[in-house]
Amino acid sequence: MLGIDIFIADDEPHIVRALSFVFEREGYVVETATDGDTALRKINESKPKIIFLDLIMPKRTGDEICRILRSDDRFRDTHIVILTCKGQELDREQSISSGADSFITKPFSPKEVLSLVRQILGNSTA
Amino acid sequence: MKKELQTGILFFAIFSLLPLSFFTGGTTSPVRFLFFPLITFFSLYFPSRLLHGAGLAFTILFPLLYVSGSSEPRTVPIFSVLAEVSAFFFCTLVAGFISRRIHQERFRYENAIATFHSLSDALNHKNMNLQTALDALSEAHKKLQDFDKTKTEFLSNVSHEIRTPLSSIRSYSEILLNYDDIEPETQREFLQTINTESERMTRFATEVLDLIRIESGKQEIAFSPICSSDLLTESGRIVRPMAMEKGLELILEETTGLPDVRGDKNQLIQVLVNLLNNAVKFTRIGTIRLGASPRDGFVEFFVSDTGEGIFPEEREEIFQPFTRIAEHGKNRPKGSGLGLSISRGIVEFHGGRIWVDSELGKGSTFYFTIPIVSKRTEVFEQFDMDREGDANVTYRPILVLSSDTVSRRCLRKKLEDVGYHTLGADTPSRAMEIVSTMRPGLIVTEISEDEESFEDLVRWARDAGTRVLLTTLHIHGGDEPTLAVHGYVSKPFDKYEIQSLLEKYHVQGGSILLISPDRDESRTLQVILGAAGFDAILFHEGPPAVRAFETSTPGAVFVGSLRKEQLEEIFTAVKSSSRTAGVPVFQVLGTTLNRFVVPVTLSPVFRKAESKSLYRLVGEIEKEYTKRIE
Repeated sequence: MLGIDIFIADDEPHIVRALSFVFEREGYVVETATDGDTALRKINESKPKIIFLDLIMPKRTGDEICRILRSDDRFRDTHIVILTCKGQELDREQSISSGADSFITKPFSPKEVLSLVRQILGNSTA
Repeated sequence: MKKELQTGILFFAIFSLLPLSFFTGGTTSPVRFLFFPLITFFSLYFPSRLLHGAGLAFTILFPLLYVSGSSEPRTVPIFSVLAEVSAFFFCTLVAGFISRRIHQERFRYENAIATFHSLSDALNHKNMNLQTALDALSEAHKKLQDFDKTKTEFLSNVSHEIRTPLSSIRSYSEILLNYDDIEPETQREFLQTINTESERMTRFATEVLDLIRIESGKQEIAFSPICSSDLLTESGRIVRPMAMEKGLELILEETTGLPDVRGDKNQLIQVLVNLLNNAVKFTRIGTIRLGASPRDGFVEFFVSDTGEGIFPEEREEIFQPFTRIAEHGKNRPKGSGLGLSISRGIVEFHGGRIWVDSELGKGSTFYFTIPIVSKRTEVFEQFDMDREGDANVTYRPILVLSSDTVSRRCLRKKLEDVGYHTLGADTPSRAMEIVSTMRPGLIVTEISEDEESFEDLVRWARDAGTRVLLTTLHIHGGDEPTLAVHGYVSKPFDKYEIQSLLEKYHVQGGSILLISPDRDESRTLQVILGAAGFDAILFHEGPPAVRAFETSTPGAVFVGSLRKEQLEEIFTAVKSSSRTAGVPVFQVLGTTLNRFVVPVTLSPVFRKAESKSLYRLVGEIEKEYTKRIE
């Protein structure tokens, strides 16, 4: 399970599919999950470079996963992106306090997400 | 008691000291110097003029006693006697004056205390009023806050539900636009997703609009008689393909012999289809049953499944908008979370109730009730159709005012059973407190002894446009309460009104019993009845009238503002014998009624069902409840 670049967790399969399609076309290795528990288990196994977490997911929210990951030394420097539907100030604050690096409000443009990924992975590899 | 004893001792001391002073040497006696303080005290304890007078009389009596004793000549000069008398007289005057001043001061003091008490009472009362007003305000504030919170939550949920499919649509359309080399199959898959997601959005928009329309009461419902079994077969037909696709059996129970219901066919099918869809969605293997049965003026529909079941704490919650049961399996079609809220809105608008029974792991059964069509409701619908809907009235609770706990509880339960929210009050003043915060949609009341507060309540109802159903209940034996009177006569008495009332109930002759503690009222009625050719027999209280029933059968009975127990006794006396059971009973009201007060009484033709249950009253309540105020 080594060499995973991007992890996507969202309970909406269409969103997971769209994002992974775009990333895979760029040659990134992608792993996905549609609920919080599976996401946490798979992230622990695969140690991705970027993690996309939907804020509202069954079993565990993106917020919760983010907090857990940040308390783990292995994921201290992993870039975490929160996907939120509401884009409200409250969500922003929550995501930042839980340790997320950035957040994207739905509906998003896959192009913009891709450029964000390029920027992050470009920086980390450089 | 202590004071009286003191007074007695003083009284005794003075009246024994006076003759004592006379016999022990008159003017030279030092005892007389005791008069001054003694009379002062005496006057303090006996403030009445009479006793002052007694003091003065004794002053005069003293020289008389002196003179009468002078048959045996004395050596005391007349001058000395005069000095003695005037000294005594002066003492009495001074003592009286002092004691009067003390009394005046005491009176002022007591007055001040009383004023203080009454002011403090008034203050307390004001304080209580303020507290009540404050409670009402904070209640209103809380309601507004809740409403605001609900609104915010609702909007944020709507936003979420719109953004999710929109994300897919936007992502896939952008992907399709940006990449030219996608394989046709993938292209198709993406287009398919865009299509289903836009369908999902459309459906959601319709549902939100449905819910808003139902909750605001602006929905158009075409009430008409509908065949219950048609509803079942049609909704079964709609859902059957979906059930079959999932390998589930859909069983339609026997539907013949069901009465027609009153409602909007499309909306009722929407409710059934929604419940069936949920059943299919949450059942993996097994059977879905669909059926109905008549129950107390309603048809009770049910949809049962052999799915996962619902946790007890979720059974009420699922009817709230955007509440979805945790969906464990994958690839399960996601709902908007509005279906059950819409269903509940529709059912309640029809005057019914919706609920769920469930056993974890075994399945759930959803029930809902819709009123059966009757001639009465049809007539009412004709009348009601032209009016604008106002759901606010429909969703408000019904206030039941009766001093009798059993009647009140019983009626409330009846109403709750058919799906209304109710409030209870035992006195009109308690009812006034409730209406100031809760705004009931309808008030059902018995006449109260507290006429003033009752009139306040009727006035409030008139101003608020709330109807008041006036009824008199009676509990005969251990049965449930029933309607007790055939009509009401209110002040000012109208000769023609009373005559037509008697005609309506076929009172042709014979004597009429008039039982009322109010003599003026009875006499006025006696005159009116006499002019109409009836012989009215007056009773001022219940028991003698009850005895009169034992020997004679009156043509009718008029009861005035008697105490509740006496009224009950009279009703029992009338009802307990088959000879008198048909005698119409009219209640004379001390208050004047307005047009917002609708009396609910027994009908002119004796019906057994009426005399046995509250069915008719509940029917009338339902009728009035949905009726708008012009």
